[in-house]
Amino acid sequence: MAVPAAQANVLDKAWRQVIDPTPATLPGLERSLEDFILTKKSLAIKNATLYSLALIEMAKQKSSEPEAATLLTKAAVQVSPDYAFPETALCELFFDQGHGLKSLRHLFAATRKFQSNPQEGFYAATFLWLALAVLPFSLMILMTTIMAVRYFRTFSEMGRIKLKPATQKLLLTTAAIAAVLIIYLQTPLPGLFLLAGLISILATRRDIILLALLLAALLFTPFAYEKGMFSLLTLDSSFFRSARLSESGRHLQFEPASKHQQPAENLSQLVLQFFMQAEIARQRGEYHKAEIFLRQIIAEKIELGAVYNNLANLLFLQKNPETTLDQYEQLYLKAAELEPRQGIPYYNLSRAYLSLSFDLIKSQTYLEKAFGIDPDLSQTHEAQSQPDFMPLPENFYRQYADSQPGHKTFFPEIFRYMLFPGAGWTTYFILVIIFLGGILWQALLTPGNRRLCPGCGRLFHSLKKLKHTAACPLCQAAGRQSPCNLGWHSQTSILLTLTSIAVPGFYQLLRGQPVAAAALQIPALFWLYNFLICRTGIMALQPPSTPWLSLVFPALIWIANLGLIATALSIHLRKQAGEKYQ
Amino acid sequence: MKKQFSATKGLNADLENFEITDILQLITQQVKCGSLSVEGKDGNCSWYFLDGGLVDFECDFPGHLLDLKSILVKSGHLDESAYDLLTGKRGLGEKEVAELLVQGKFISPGELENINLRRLIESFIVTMQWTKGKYSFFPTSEVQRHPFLPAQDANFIILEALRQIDEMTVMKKRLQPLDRVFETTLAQANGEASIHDLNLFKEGLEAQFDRDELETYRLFDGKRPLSEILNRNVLGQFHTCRIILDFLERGIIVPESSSQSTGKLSRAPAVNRQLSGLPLMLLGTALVIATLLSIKNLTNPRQGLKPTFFSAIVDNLRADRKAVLAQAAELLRRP
Repeated sequence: MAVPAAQANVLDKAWRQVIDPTPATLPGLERSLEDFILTKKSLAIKNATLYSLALIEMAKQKSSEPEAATLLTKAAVQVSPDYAFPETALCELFFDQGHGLKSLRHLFAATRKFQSNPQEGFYAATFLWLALAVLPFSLMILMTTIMAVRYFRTFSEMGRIKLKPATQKLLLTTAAIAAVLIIYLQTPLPGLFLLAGLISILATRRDIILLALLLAALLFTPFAYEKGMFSLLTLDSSFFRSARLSESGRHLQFEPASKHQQPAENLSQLVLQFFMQAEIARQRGEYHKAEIFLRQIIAEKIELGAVYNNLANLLFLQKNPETTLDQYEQLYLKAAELEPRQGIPYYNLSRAYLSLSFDLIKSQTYLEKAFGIDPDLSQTHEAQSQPDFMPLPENFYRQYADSQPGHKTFFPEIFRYMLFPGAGWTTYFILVIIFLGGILWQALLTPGNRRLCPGCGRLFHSLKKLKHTAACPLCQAAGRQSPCNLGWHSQTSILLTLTSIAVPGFYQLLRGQPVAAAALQIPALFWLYNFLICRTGIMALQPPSTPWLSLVFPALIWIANLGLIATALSIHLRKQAGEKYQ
Repeated sequence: MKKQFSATKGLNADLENFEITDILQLITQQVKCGSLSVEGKDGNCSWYFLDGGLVDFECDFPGHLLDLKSILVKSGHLDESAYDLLTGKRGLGEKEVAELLVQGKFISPGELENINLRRLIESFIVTMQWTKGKYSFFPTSEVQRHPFLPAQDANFIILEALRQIDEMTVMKKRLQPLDRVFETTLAQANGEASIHDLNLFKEGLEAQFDRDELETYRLFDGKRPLSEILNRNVLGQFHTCRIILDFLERGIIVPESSSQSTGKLSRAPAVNRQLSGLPLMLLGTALVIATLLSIKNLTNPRQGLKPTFFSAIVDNLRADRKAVLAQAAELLRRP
């Protein structure tokens, strides 16, 4: 919340004590932090993000003094209790200090706030929707590429059976030209279609169905990307910039509201604009102006609990003698009716009865109702001298985000980078659906018992008695069932082994275990996505940037990958040893 | 050994005038004892009845492998030389050999009874399909039971044979034309196997089929037509038809014509052999490179390139964050 100048002076004074405590000892710092937090509360400032950032920066400067650093970061959490970034800083601090459990606790707290805070919620929405857009696509690319390795021998042999040498050379030349075009035009999706289509000719039905499932997931990608981009655009919108400023807790020479205005394109944008202007006017102490903006929203026949509650509060603060208690009651009860999960309207009504008519019975009745709906109200509203203002409901922010302009710009852009220049929404869906149909048709044509031997990479057709084993008759007789024996040169085997260790799920997919491979690859790709999005800098100080996600999570995936490979190999070796013994 | 008899006091007729099922029903209903012999274009067969029940049979169909020796050898119970050793030198008949086999534990009595029952049904299937030929019934009370064939109700055997003929007609329609030659797809995939590998391959093959499937599978050598496989298989036509259809459904065998059109394997150098596998590798590599380039250019375009919408918003947010951090740092400055 931005602060009027007089209040800001009081807050600044308390802040100066924090950066220059007397005495300059730990207890001195602790006392000045307590004073600062109390001052902030008394000024009814809910969050002061700029001060929290400054406290976190101070903690970093005092990293050699763990107690002081902890004290400062904990204070940062109290200064901006609704925000995830101070909790994230505390999580990182405890992680660095080796307090794993404490660190995890604060990670969970940060994640909770990351989702619930309307502002940071859009960072979370951006993060999750873009992840949903990126993951199916990247998973399909990874799996299809590994399948190309898996089916290499099959293609070599079947090609030799079915094709003449001249045709083989023609095929290779065509593929080389296609590969150059794919790289030059940077069109991964046509490359993916080409490769997956080629693989499906000789793939097993299970692998074709896997390709079809991954392909079906691509239908969801543009929708997820749209949602993610809308959230990202919202973060960059003038409304949210103003909201960020208003929550900074710092007295800023308020930029004129018009600077933060864009022409409203729809009703939700108009409502948000009026609501934001009402908030700005209220923070300046211009309650009458704020009232006008809120009445504009009601005139547009938009029924929002926050508008009625805040309007009643503004009338209360103006101490207008023409406003009767019945009118207050009407407004607050309307707000309560529209927001049945919020106790704030009843709480404010209780205060109104107490202040205006000293009706203790009615005041107590409404207070009980307020605490009945939201028991936390008793703790959060102790120190406040003013009635409580409500934010807009969260779905309204989502509506606002979804109505952001820009899809005309970002859709051609993403389709250009996925498909080819000039491709659009319709082209994308037509291509994906046609290709999906082709793959499903291929799955129907493929014999159900076609198998790929993990031991030698040959294609064969399994029979009833072979259900318990994946190996072909040859490998079964020789006791070879491991992809390490793909029958290739030893250098290739070494390369495959190293890739199996480095790329989670590679070994499992080579063995024909797509579920196990996906279970490893989805978290691994999620980590890669997390790494890339953190590199852009927009997730700095947010939960995705914690060491738990950037260090511990990939280590766990890698250990799981190694564990699964070791288990599979030990079972195989034990089997071999058993067979030799017999 | 075939029993010699004359039909002077029995019944002689042509298959064209009097169907074999009718005479069989007559024998059963009147609880007759004696032997019924049929002679047709593909061989001859005799069945023996005791009080209306079928107790023994002897058949000779040159086009079908229905004799005990072939069945036992093909099913792997003993090899040909062992069988000849048991029969040839001592001049033993089929029943005596069977007794010796059971005594020597080459085969269990139960297995032998099953084989004989199948042979009995098959004998009816073959003869019931004849439209021309002669048969004769010779009543006698001197009929011996087969030691490894429990007495069978002739009506049941007829009904079972008729059922199998009906089903087989439908199955054969699906297999038409029967002069087609089939090849195993497993053999195709095993093109690169060395001699050592081929031996292993055979062992592995035996491990994955049951006995009947393996027997049928072995007959697909890329030379025999379907009709020959149906007649030559010791399992009988009905079971062979069923297994062949199963093989076809599961893609275990393919018509030889389709594999011929694709060309036979050639022992080309290793590099040439990988020519059709390399396109996969090329496309896979291109796909990975194109994806990485796309991601890089979408999120962080190269110097001199127009920034993307995504990168522009990200740059805005980054600048915004930097400004906020600068303001926070400003707060830390002492006055």
